[in-house]
Amino acid sequence: MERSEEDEFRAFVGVRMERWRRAAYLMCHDWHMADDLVGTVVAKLYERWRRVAATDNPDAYAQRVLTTAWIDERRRPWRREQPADVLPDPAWTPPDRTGDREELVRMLARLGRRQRAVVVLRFYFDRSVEETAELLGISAGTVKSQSARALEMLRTLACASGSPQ
Amino acid sequence: MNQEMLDRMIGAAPPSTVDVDEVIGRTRRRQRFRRAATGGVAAAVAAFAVLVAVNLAGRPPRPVPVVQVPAAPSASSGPLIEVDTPAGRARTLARLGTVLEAAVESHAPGTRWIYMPDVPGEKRLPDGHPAMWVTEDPVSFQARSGITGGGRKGGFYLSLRAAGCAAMTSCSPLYECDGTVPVCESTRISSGLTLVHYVDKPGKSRVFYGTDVELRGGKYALRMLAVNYFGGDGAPAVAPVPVLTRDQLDAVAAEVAERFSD
Repeated sequence: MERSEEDEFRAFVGVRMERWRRAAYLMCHDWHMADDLVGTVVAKLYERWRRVAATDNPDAYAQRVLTTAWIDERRRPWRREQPADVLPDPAWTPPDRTGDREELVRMLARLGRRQRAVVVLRFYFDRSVEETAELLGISAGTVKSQSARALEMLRTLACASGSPQ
Repeated sequence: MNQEMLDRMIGAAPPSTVDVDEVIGRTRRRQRFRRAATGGVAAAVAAFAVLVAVNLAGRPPRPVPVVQVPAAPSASSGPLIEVDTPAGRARTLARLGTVLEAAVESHAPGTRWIYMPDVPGEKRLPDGHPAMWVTEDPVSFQARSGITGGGRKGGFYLSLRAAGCAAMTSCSPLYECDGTVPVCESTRISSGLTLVHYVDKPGKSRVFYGTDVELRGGKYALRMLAVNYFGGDGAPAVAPVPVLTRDQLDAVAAEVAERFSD
């Protein structure tokens, strides 16, 4: 990769990194794994950057890698998500939004793998039904039904817990 | 539901641990390795000769599994790996399941497939067969299952997917022996296929036996993992070693790969 291409790559990644991390967190509920998934996205993008940059929509490619990486990751025994006896010091004090976050985690954890990916693509990355279907390699009908089921479940859970919808 | 609402619920993110420079460096090294591996046939042959010489001069080499491969399906039965249509993928998955179960029965007699949970709340599948499915990006054929035998149980994973990294799709090149795991050996088995055998012990008493085989033609790679834990995320080790031995895993992988090599 030439210098100018690498600069372009770094700029592309730099402005999207936080958005990818947050989307990954929505799916896996673990910031360490979210960073792993984003690392996978960065590596795959770098490997294919010349081709990706030449496409109409490199964002779509990155989002597809992110969501499919997570769907695959859940089935791999090689992943790093393992229980720890001693939690590392995060050197970071989270703001006092624990209640919201726990609620979000609790609600999303009730959804299946692909449903979470559908929710993230549809409502976080604002992809259309057709785009989501193409990115996940499933039919538009499946996206619609999974979106509807996911929203229904989230609404039910939110109502049950008194959270805003 | 929209992005703003989800962002509000996520709250502030901790500092990123993604080191872009490190990822770029690692990816470059991997690309260099692949180029060297695919372009330097002569070097690979020489390296293999050196490896053999070292093995002969030093410790005795681990025996390469001798695989009795049943007769392959006739050429008139069409391609063994069909990825273009849902029906073709379903046929391939069914064939893979049949071949896998027969190979395990042949090389690991006395073992049995059992349901292995993955995520909480999932529907329980019956024992007796591995769970199998097809994924996209690109098409890959997957299996996961618990397995019992010898008074213990453990996990088993399989994937059959594209070996080469082409045109914006994920891929599964053979495992690279880069010195990061306790055991990693690449060899050519009797049928001429390249087999990479590796063992990893990532801690918490977990033991992974892995075997990758590149199918003839180099288009697809088969990966099998036998692990000594049982279940999904964070499941603890339930036995000192996986149910399948290293030789059994190699033999099963070699047979399945041979049966799926055109």
